[in-house]
Amino acid sequence: MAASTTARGRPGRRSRSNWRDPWRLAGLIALLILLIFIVYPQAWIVRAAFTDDAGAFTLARFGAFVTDARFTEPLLHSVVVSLAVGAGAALVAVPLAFVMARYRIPGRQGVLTMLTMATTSPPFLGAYAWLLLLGSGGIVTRAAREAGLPLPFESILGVGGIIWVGVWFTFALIFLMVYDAFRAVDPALEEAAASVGSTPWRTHGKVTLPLAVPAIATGCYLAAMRIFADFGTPMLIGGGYSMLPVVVYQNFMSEVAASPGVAATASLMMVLVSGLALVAQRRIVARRSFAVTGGRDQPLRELRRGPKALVLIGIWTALLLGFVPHLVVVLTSFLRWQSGILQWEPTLENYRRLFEESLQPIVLSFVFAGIACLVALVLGVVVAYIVARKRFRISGPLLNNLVMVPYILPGTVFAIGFILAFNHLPVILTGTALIIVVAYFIRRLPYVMKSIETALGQVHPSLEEAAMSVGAPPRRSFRDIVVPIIRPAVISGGTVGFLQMITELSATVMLYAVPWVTMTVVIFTNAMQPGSPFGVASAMTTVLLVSVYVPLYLLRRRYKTVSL
Amino acid sequence: MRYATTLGAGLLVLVLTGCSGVLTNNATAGKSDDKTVTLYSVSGPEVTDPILGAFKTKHPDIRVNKIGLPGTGEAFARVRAEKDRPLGDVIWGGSSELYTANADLIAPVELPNDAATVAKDPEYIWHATDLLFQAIAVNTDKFSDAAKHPKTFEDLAEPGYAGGKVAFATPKSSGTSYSLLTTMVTLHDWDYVDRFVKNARMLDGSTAMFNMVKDGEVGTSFINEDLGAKWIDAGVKIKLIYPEDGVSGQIGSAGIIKGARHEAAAKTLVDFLMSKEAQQIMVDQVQRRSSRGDVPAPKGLPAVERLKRADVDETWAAEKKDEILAKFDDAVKSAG
Repeated sequence: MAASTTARGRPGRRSRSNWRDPWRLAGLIALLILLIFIVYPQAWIVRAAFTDDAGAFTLARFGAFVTDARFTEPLLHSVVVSLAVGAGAALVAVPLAFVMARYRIPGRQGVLTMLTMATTSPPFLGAYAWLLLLGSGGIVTRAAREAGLPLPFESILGVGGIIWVGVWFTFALIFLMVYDAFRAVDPALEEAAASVGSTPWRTHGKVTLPLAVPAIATGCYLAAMRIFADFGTPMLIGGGYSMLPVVVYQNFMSEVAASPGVAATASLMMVLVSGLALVAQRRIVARRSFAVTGGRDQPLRELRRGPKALVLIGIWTALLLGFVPHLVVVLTSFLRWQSGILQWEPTLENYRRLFEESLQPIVLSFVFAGIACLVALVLGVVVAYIVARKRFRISGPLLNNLVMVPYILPGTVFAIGFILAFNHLPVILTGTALIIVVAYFIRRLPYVMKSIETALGQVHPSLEEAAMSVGAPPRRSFRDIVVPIIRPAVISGGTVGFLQMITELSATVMLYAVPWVTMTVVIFTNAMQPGSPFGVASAMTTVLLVSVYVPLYLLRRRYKTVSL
Repeated sequence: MRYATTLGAGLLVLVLTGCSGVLTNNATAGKSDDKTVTLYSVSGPEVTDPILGAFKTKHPDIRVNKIGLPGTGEAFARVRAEKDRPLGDVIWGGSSELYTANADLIAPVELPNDAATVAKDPEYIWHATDLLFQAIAVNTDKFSDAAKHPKTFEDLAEPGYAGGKVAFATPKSSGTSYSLLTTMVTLHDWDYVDRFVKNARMLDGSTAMFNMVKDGEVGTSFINEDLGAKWIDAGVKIKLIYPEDGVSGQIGSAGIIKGARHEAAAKTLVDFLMSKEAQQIMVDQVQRRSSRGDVPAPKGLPAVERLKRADVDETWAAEKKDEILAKFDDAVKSAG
């Protein structure tokens, strides 16, 4: 009774020292979960990085990352490529998001649905599709050569190709975040600017854009980190351009001379770089003021005919490019492949072979990703709320940084940590289905958590304080104020998280055991060697895409009002 | 908040039930000792499926749980991580020296069919399932002048080599490349390597090396002969040239994981892989060379007798690995 009177009397003094704050307990539980499933399994990496081959403590491995060109070069390459991809994807996504958020665009629901769909790339075969089109012997390249058209490149292979694929692979991710932000900007703010004589362009530059900066920063951060950690793309179309994930992967998995120490050091460098990126992102998000105090919807304006045509062309070009991998995979699933070589003969053989085997992987994928996604949502909301709202001095930053660690670690490396930690007592998970669920949940938590955090950044804490000042307990103010505002972000974060889980490949491959075979495993095993039956892999990918997109479409129709 | 708590508690219960169910399931699967065998396979279904199909017909009582892994490196990494409580029984694919290098993870077992293979391990760590050679592959679209096509390793190191860059996977990560490198050093010397890397385009893995020549990104590369022959069948414009100064080769292998829970079934499976029946399928359907003397080469590949095999000292290649790789690194560095 006394405590509640104090809380009512002094709403400002809530969190800092109040141990009875339920968020404190929630934060500790979240921290415990992350310690068990992130720190404990991956601690071996830290150990390996600081011990030399004889087992003694050393710092020499880190020295090599400053002096040895074999390591400094990939490090530099990775940073440059990630920045380029983040910037490039933002250049595509931000104008698109602005136009979509503010103007009446024909087919907007369809476009939005497709953009959500574009955040999932067909696992494994995505970069391969671009190679099939724009490689030296690619379809487009060859056609252009025969038609005598000059192309600005001879082949997509190389650093340009990595950036190109990266941009189209990530722009939808930025779009979704920024779109939500543009929608959430209170029209009253812009009206206020207009009423004191600001031109529309000036208002957008000085009011709207700055309000969207947290979302842009988070989107760029996620996009850049996605490519920073991606090992498949540089491996497939890098053409020998060295990047850090490849160094990590090769040193861990080399069949000739694996050196886990070097790989572990490189992993830590990646975590370090991503930590710096996280600091930058946090600074940008934290410094900006809050946008939403009301919750009034942005009205949609009409566009003139000329600009409208331009906008439509832009949107559909971006969508088309974003969907190139999907289209190529679907198309090639209906063509005959022989020893991994595409033959231009239509066939249904790939599907026949696929359906000869059991359909269990489809069900299993949904069950695993579904459970993992729900758990990630619960934990994601807790962590995001604490990071965005509570000024817990220790657990806050700790949670924020820990959550992002799995985002950076290559899936295979992450999986090795899981096997090392959970193949003996007290917790045995290897060989079970649970290990895949836990891996999905932990690996994709960052997506869920970051989108909720961004949404929270737009809710002014004063709304909650107001609720509490009139006597609402924290639980109620959370339920009545925060939940409705972050619901769109929970749904879109959950959706993106789910899509990322169901397409997870690299950790799954290292962790799965029969009979717990997922769709991605089927895709992978049919495309793992250069002579493998890629057609079956394409067919399974098509089934995966369809089985993911149908529920996604239905979900969007159901929640038409929210900006999913 | 209450909803969240209820939801969370509900989920926890769900997960725990699921977990215990799964755990029991796993445990019962482990009990039926010799009826199942877990296979870590490094090859795609195009290699494993025909042979495992025959195994199923011959041993209907044994169920093979195949787990496909991206490469030999990944497979041994998984086995090593599971060392204290092995979950796999058999590892199949990749060349013999990788098994020797990971001998601490493999149970040495002498099997009846070992005697019939042309190459055998005196320690019985690896069991030969196929033989594999590398050819020089030339993309005839990209590099069309047949008169200038290379005939030997020596030709590939010529200054101003007519075929442009030669794709070469870094031997640190590719076993195929490492074998090619030791062959180069054996046939020629380190001076040759210095000259070769000036013509080489270094890549991250052997798959990239094969694909580059297939796609016409480079004119010349090395390729596993069976893949090359299949690609030619499938219409890829490449030509295979077996170097006249010496051909590199490996022994495709299988091994029984130390501490395997289904050891008897594992032995049955690995022995079957070396049987004449399985080897005939290896040749006819998989189009790989048999490890047995009594099964002739697949169509499309020249007989072994017609190849001049490089005489690489395997002990040297295994024991001096770090030194060899370091020297190669230096050669790459000095080539710029």
